Amino acid sequence: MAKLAENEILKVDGLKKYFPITKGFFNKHVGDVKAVNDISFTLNKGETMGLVGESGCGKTTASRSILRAIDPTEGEVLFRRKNGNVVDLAELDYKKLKDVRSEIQMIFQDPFSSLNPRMSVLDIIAEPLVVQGWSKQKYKERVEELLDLVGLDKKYMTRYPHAFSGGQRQRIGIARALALEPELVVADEPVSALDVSVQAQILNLLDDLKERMDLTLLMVAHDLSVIRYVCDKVAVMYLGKLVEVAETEELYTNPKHPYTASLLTAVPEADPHMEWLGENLKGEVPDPSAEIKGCNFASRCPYAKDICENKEPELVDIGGGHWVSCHRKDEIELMGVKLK
Amino acid sequence: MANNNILEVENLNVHFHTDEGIVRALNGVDFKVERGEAVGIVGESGCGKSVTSTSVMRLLPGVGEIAAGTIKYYDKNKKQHDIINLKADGEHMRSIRGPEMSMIFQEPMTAFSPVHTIGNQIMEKLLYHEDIDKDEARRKALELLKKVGISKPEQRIDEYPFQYSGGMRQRAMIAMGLACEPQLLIADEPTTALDVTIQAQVLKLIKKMQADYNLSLILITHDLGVIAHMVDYVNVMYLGRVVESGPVEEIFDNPAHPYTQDLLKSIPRMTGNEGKLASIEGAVPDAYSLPKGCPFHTRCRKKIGEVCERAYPERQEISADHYVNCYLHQDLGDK
Repeated sequence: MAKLAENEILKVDGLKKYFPITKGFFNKHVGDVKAVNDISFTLNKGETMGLVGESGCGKTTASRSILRAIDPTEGEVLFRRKNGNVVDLAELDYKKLKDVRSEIQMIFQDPFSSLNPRMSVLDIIAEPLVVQGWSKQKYKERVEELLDLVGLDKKYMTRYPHAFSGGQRQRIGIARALALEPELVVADEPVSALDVSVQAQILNLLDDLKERMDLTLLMVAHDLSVIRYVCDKVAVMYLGKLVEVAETEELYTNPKHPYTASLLTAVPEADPHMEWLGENLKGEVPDPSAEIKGCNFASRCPYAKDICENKEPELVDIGGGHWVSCHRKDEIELMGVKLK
Repeated sequence: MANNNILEVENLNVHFHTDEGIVRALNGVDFKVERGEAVGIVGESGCGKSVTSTSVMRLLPGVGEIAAGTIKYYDKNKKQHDIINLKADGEHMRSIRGPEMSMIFQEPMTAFSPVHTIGNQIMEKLLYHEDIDKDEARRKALELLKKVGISKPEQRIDEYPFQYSGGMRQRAMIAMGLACEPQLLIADEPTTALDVTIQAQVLKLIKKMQADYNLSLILITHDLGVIAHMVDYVNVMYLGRVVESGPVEEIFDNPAHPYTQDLLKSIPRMTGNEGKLASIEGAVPDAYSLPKGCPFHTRCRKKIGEVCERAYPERQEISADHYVNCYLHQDLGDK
């Protein structure tokens, strides 16, 4: 088993998740949707990493496989527990997993469907504590603390979710995730269902909590400006693979993968004086069940050459923790976000 | 005086009669669209931007009622049509909806019928409005699909919406919107359901079509980035009113309403933000019981005091074509 370095809390190595496609009466196995196809990265303690990509790229499947909400097909997910022991989440049996789960929590996308409408706020936030055997008096105190932490009044404790707005519900979801002081929090599109003004409240809250609780956060999102605001490090995913991983500032200003560059320039910035390049990618994402021999981005890449169609590029370190998977990374000039 | 407007909306009030009470979705919306201009309507969910567009199209659901106001539309021959007084499903309105103004919706999967081919749905519109036969309609539909960049249109025309990807469906929707060559195109959150790279493709397509067909465009979105690059003139809506309107550069450079100012400061930027994001305290008030006076006073940082709670502020022109409804920009005299 590979080892974790001192400051690392999570190491994902060769993670794959294939969903079988079956056909006919006997459910003959005719192929696989390669939702997550061999991804590897590490996450340091206290770090916030963004996993970004377009819909269908496998970012949600990746985060769920890491949590073992679904069983990965292959690969290792090493996780350092509170007590210092390192476990492989991908192969733990369910009994042991239950024990570890208190240290990994999740914040969900949709604040409307992720809270049980028949439970009061107290019950919702206390549920993880109850599972861990806290007494009623003890957990009530903790819930008060948590509500205060996420900026909600404790008098709301007896109310039910319907009485809250989207932003307030998301705060409740965050309080629940933090109840057991988890080592790792996975947030899957935590603000995409919210309006901009409310989104800002939640982003500020996450940023705050990150500092105050020394939280390690893996944030899945499609919105590049949101990722930029919260994350220290970003991994860009395309069709089940990581194409580029780097520190946020570096990735945004100096992208090395053509896909990253086109994502960055596709976003219209809220400033009419700034140039918006917009459309620069032809076509759409290919079918994730197709056999692709070379680089999986070659079909849309404006820089693709013969080698890109025939040989799969590897994710390599080009220095300073900047990883890129592109054959032509040294030959092409890409434009990132220009700083004002 | 030559009137170059294609649409004039004044004091539009729309109420929804629900079991829980009356929802005042629009409380006096004013805006206009000049011929060939792209106008944006921006606001958060529930501010009434979609209700505005469906009122203009007279496609409000049964519980919705236009309680007051006027909507004037000027057709190809500059003839004025009083949209409010037309029967929503009458002959006259039908002759406007389609050949004169047309709409593209947010969710193309639900806007298309799942059991008819894309081609037939575009042809249906052409056959209804134009005096042509089926072959001619099919030829026109094919041309439209080609125009919006659908690859292999000869094959795609006979396919069903589920066989199209999200981006292609939105392209087909634009093709359908452009059939019968309308003067005014209303795009309601046309790219919200799409990924960024596809969003860029579709937005550029809308821009190109606007130029090719000399269209007037109303773009409705919550995304200030899209607004900044797509329109000439912006209307900012909050709780059923246009609180500020102005040329796009003016709105982004010199926002005058505290709501617009806060909204602009609350978005995370690709170029990075200095310090914390500004957030607007609290949430949008309940539409069943709107606050008195300026509807934003419950969340406003710059609230002057009682005056904001008393009456809705008058519209004030603060620079050329830049209007704002806020007491901060009014001479309050002795008060």
